[in-house]
Amino acid sequence: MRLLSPKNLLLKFSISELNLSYSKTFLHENRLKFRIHPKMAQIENLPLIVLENIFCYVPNRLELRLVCSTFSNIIDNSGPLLQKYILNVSKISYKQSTFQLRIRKLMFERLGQQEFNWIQNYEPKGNIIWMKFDVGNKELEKSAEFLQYILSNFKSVREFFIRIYDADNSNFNPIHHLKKMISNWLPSPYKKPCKKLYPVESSKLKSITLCGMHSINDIMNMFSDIPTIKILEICNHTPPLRFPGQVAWNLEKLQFNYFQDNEIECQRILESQKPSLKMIELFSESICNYVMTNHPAIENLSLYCGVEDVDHLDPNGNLKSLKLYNSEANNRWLEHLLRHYRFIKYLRLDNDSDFELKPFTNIYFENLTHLSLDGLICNFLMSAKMPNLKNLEISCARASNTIDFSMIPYQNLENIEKLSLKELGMDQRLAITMKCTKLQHLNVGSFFNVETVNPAKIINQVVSKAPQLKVFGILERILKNHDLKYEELLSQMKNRRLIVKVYSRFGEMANENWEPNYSSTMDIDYYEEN
Amino acid sequence: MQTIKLQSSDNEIFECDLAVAKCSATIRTMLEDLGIDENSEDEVVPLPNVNSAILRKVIQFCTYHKDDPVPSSTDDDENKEKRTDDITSWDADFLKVDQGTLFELILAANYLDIRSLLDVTCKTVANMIKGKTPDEIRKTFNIKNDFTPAEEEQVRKENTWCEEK
Repeated sequence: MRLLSPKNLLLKFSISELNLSYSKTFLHENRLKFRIHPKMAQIENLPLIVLENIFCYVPNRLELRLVCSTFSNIIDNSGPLLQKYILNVSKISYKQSTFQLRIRKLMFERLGQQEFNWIQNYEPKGNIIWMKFDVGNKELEKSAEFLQYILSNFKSVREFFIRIYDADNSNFNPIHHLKKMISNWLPSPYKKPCKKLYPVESSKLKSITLCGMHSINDIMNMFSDIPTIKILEICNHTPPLRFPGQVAWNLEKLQFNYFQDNEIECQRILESQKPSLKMIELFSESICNYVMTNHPAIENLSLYCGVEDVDHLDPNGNLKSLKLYNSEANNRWLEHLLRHYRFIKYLRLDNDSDFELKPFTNIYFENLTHLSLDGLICNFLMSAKMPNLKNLEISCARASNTIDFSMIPYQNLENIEKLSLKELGMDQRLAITMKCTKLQHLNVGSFFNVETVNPAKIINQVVSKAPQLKVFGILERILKNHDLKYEELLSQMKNRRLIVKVYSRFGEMANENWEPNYSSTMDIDYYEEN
Repeated sequence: MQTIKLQSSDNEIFECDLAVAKCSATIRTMLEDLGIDENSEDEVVPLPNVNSAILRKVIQFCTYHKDDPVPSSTDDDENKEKRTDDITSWDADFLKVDQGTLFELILAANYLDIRSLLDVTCKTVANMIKGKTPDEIRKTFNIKNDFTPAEEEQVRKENTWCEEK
């Protein structure tokens, strides 16, 4: 056997390292004159357009996403070519692509001419299982026509979210369109507009969210006999609520916003339900007690009211997530509550009261991984021990310059991977960020105090010095305020993912002649901030 | 028969049927832009992004498929379900090559803008992916898993619902 020369050994080693499996025939044909193209020989280094083309033929995108971050990013960011499950038309419409997609979730934040054109041109029809209309009266000019089109083409929707503010617009009658839409979801014997829907086992409709409609009670009544509905969300309603007397729903999630005046109605709907609720949002202590007694499987509780007797809450210890909003809590009550819930995984506290709270240094949250704090409570709660915290959100308008991060135990920040900082002074933002040595995802900024954020300073002092950071999110308005161009920001990201959040509260875009001009490499999230 | 000369990146000259060369939209455009016609016998079209081994295979593919009807690109076609089980036996045999060659063919098809070759090579790669677990896909293509366990769990959590039937 001929010994390989060092040169040949080197070549053999290189080929092996690069996993270039060129066949002997190929090598012979090329008389060993081939060039080694490590990038070309690896699938993940094929041009984006080619990879997208390949992925189009692979139906199971979850498996693809899990292969590596490159694949996952391609599927996340490549737009209409791939099956982009959560599709925000407002976002995609600016990326105009000629490729097909199989959308499963579709969200409309505006219903204007552009969106209408987009859906007519690109939506292949029939695959959508989740649909959301989240539009204000300023965007309603195309709604009737738009909905008409949707009604004719989309019959597979199983989750339906509609939030139409100021729905007394004379050109738009949501109940008229909803009736037609519902009739389209039903099998043929029921497929006709009707005042009352009949029980239909084969309905795919699982979730309804109704917001801001004068006709909300009538609409609820229309849905009342559909047993597949498991999620009911009602918010910003105008008239007093009147729940249907009998409902076929088996609710797992029940959410009301601003429900203070509807305690009796709430009790009625709860009494009609089997003990299957897992998630609820409440405004009343008495209702809370009722839920905790009769729905022992509750895992996710949001309270907008104070609760005196916390010992009665969660008697079976099933609660995983607790959100307390506007709780005028004193130290004794809060400490008692926090000790009671020391095993939960998700905690959100809003507390901006003037109670003189003391640091909770002797409380230990063993399982807490996600903490969201708003208000003066930041100073006090962060002193509790939470060594497994991975995701921290802080929003504190009043205390923006009074938060003392020296009170936070180092261990609390040691494992944080995602940090969202809103309404904090610049020094506070930098101080806490620099302490999170495992930080991978940083979000900064909120709508209300853009002037306190200096993006250049954050990038210089944090982003550029944190090699482990993978994602940086910032509010579009902050960039505008500092006259910072996206391209400048992108150039400093060093292959990190940039998320520019666009504040899209109703009317904002129209008032500002909003004209996005985004680079295709940027991920743009739209969100609403109340 | 009108012929044309194509020059590979390693300077090998291939003389091939003009109709075959025109399967490539890129070459068609180059011919127009460079003003080369059937009477320009000595003109050579340089293809700096394709080496001779790959160019030989591309010419072989185009020669076999030169009389195929041009695929339409209407919206209806775009909306058709993407199938990978419609590869002909000749194409399947033609693409029984190692991964490196397959990827080079894809790149060449992309550069030369030969849609039929790009489609069939992409389908072949897709068939190597389909039905495999993420780990099997990584092994097949020697891809490094750069997710942390937490990130992997996050991806799974965020996307599992998409697979609901």
